[in-house]
Amino acid sequence: MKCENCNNQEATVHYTEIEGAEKHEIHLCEECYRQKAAPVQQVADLGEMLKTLLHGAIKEQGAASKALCPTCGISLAEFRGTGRFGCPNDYKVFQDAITPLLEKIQHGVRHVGTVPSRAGLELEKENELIRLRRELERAVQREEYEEAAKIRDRIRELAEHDGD
Amino acid sequence: MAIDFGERIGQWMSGAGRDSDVVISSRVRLARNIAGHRFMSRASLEERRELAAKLHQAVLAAHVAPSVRYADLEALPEVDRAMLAERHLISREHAEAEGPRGVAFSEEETVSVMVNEEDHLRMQVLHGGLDLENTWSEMQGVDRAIEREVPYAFDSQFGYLTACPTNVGTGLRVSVMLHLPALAMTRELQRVFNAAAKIDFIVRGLYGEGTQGHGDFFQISNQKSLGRSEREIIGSLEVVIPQIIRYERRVRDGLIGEHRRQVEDRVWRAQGILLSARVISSEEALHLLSQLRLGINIGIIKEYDIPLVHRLFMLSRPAHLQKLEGAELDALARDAARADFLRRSLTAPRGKA
Ligand SMILES: [Zn+2]
Ligand SMILES: [Zn+2]
Repeated sequence: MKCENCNNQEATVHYTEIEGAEKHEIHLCEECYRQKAAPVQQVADLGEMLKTLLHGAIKEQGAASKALCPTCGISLAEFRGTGRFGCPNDYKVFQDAITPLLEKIQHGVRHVGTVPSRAGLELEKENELIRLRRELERAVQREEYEEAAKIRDRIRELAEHDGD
Repeated sequence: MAIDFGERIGQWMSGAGRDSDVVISSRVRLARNIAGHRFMSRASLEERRELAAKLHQAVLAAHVAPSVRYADLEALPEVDRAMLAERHLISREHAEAEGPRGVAFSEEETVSVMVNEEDHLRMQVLHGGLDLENTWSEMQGVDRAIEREVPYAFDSQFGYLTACPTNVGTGLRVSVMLHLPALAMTRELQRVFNAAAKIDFIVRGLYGEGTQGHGDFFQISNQKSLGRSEREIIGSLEVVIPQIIRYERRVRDGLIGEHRRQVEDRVWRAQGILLSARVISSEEALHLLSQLRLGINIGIIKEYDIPLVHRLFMLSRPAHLQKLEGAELDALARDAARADFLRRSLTAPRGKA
């Protein structure tokens, strides 16, 4: 039996639709079933929605969108492209730009839930670690292995006092 | 390295739990990142490797469950990774990604912790039936245990910091998976979903974002993670879900009362195909088993039980089927093997799990 929608593929999904007292036999191929009959026509896609919003919220920033996070090096424009931040510090660095976005996609701009039961790293140290890891990446790319080894030691030293 | 679950399925698919005629499972997920590290999309290969090693250790040291196993996904064959995704132990994205990453999961498969997904840690607790309260408190225990091992990226204004601002704050996503065959049959479903969307819930299919409702299974989750406490988010689902459950039950009763013949016809046809077809696609299997599940729940079908149907749901998925057959199969061979497997399982003596 051919699919009653496209008349092309073999129908593999067969079911009955009941509307009031009416009963309809439906025969569709998988492709058409997925596109037409599956009950949710528009499954909201968070990723897509975010991209649209990002575009609106951040394009007005103009020159500001070229500003870089001093810690991980990401720009606002890059964030707009992917919808993903580069490091935790970006929430602070780009705070002004993302506040209107958060107001749209969230209940508010302030966390009111659980907080960690132990103190995290000091912010200064946290950002220093990220900067070092970025430097390390660049040293490895430039094949400066001695320099890389030094940076690794420095990271180990800093991270050892993880606060436990 | 390979993983073999045999014919076992996770606790959340056991068919047990409150309101299990409509609710398949309750799931709570937390997104966490480690302080002093870049987020995944920005981290170098060396950094991702460092994170994978560190978090592998931390998750095992945290003893998040009595018996935890860790799978290094970089070393795992594709079919095994797909199988973990079918069991909802990892996301499809995590299965298909590349590079250093892994997952720790408990023997019962109620707890799983993905390492190096979109965030450094994506942890979940998953239980059968409607049980948000216990699922959340178990999740909190896992979170606290891991927190003792690694420092989280946290900010007093923005909360737990995540790679994507849709998860920031609590990092919480609460999802309930529902089986809504009666609502789907009568086209009432779109109304339910529109109402859900108005109060910031998101409705998705069986396998996450972008997938539609296969076999009348739908996940309803909170969309927003910042600006409300975990309790408030969970509370709002605890208000909405029982309403949907009542709605589905009412429509089931109505169908049985007014359209008994049509409903019986549908259910028996589904059983007829399952017992005699020689080729069944995975989509069709979901659809037929969904009808069978409805038939059992409204008392039309008496020779099978829900645990058996759930086992067939899982074991007839493409990766599980190939693991059972012990061979890689192309789509056509899979559909044939699936039809044989379903027919065999449903004609076995008494056909109960
Ligand atoms: Zn078609
Ligand atoms: Zn940054």
